[in-house]
Amino acid sequence: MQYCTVLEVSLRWPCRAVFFFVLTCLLPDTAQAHAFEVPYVLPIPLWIYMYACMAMLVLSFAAIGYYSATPATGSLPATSSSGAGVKDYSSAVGHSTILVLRTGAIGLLLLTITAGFIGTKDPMTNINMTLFWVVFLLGFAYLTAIIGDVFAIISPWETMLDVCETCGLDFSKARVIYPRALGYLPALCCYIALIWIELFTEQSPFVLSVALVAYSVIVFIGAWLFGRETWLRYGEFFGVFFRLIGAMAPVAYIRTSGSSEWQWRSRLPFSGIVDDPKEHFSLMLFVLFMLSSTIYDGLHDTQVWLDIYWKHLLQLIEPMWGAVDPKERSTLIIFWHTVYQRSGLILLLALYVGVYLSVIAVAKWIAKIDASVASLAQRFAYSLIPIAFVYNFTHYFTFLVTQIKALPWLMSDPFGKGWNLLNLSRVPEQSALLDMAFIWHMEVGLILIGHLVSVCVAHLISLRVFHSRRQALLTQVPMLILMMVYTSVGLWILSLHLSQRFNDLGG
Amino acid sequence: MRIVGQRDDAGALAAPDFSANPENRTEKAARFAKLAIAACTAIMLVGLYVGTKYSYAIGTPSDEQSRVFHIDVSEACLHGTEPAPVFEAHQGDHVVLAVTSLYSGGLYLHGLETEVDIAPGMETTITFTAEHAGRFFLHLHGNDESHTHAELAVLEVAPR
Repeated sequence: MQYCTVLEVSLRWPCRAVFFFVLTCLLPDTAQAHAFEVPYVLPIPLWIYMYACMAMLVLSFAAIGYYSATPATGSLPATSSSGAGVKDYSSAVGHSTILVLRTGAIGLLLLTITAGFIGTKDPMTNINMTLFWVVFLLGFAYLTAIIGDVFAIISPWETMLDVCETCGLDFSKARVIYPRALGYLPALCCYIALIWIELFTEQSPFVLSVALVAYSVIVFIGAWLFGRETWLRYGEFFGVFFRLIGAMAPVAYIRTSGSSEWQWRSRLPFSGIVDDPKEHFSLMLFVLFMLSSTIYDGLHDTQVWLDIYWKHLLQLIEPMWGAVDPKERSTLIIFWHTVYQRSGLILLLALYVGVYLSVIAVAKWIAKIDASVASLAQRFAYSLIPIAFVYNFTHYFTFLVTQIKALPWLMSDPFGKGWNLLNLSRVPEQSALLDMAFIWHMEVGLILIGHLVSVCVAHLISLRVFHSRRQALLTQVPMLILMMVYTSVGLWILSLHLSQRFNDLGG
Repeated sequence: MRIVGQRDDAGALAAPDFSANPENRTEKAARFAKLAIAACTAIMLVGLYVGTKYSYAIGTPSDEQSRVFHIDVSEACLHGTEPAPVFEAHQGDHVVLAVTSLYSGGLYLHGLETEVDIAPGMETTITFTAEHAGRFFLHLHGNDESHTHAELAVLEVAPR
């Protein structure tokens, strides 16, 4: 009761408005059904978890030792990370290739939207769920890390704007000046909305199509107001997302200024995240959300996370309700469970940002650097992309492999109407499942590789930023600890048991 | 001064001249240190892998066993007020899931894509050999008006 009084007294009108708006957003909706097949997962066993943690320590110290062994008199690396002695290959991307890819991309987007409206409601037999969540957001994202940011060339939303421009609409000029302070915040908001839909709403083909139409409208309005170039750079979420992932690839695509011609150029893997100049504070938030949202996706299903509510928080908040009848009690339990689950997504981002900024502040203090914490935080944020990427990959790999097998049959019957356009045989009753030992080793191996790459990238960035090797090495100590913490959290979640039950209850 | 009998190429066997070209010497030492670090890291990673695998591999299953699990579907199971039990088995085990339910519908073992009908008050069994390792969810897909969808149990099949 004491908490209630404090809350009532302290919440003045503006705060109350915000408070109740947030609560309205958090209101529970219907319990989630299974949008897709339940992932085929098994928590990594204790011995692999123990090994991974120790291996992470060994690799971290090895990386520090490796860089410390570099003579202090040695010259700092060149500014361009294309690397001395590494031959650059570059060539123009053919017009016909671009045309085919762009047509394919816009065709797939239209198919995804159409299937949601006219196809079956069953997410398993409607192609749009698999195309968007599995092929595009997982498969294409992982491919982008290898072949580079192809999305920049084939973006269907950009193609839509092109088509509209040929029809006489002008998106090239800005009607409103884009507020510089916003930076990448529109893209970040779209990202949060996407994860929100993924985790907390009842996913169905229809909802997905409505969301994609709504997103397309946002892109049109944004491009109309602020100009297509500005909006596609700062506001178009998918463009920002794939650009960050593509920065790790050994291939870069460069648009010839003022034309629709593209060139590809080879480069050292991960050099894109070392070289990329710092942009805006909001891009750092975007990178941290890449990490925290995937972590939360893994965490919010686990028994440990749910136990915090059911065994601890519930005991704290229940006395505040006073005497309520069982039905009302049940409603309150579910309501606060939903609030707990949904606020966790944002609170985890806040926690990750807080920890990251604190570590950067410590690094600045240790190495006595003049630059501001915000500026350093922006510069080093890219070094977290490999950790975020490998954790995302290990988290969704089994889902991707399991679900992608159904794609040929879905292509043959995209709307779930019982067609067989490709004349395929019937879907096998039980497809061969993956070897679990292989999955464990792959997950742990990739997480360790991602950790090592992040440590090396952070060091290479520090060599670019600071004047001396000593400063660069000193800043790496807190950064290394931060990365060890982030990697450990990723490993820990892989070792946790999942609990679907309470999640189904509260959404 | 030349010693009698000394070979002309004796310099090649002599200790390296540390006074000459210190930068080159530092580079060589650094390269050696880096190689040593890489080699030690690889050895430690392999050693740790073998060590942890055999230190923690306690209770390794011997032969395939027959495992029978009983589930009684109650009101609490359907409304999520008690956690779903987790049944543990190993690859190759013969598994029997015996389910008694007050509700009719279908029992669905996700992942293994096995579905059987269940009638109220009757015991229904799902019998199979656990060929695949993984985490499989046993759900009740009710055929009532509200399409009850409840998690009854989780079967964890660990690899051998």
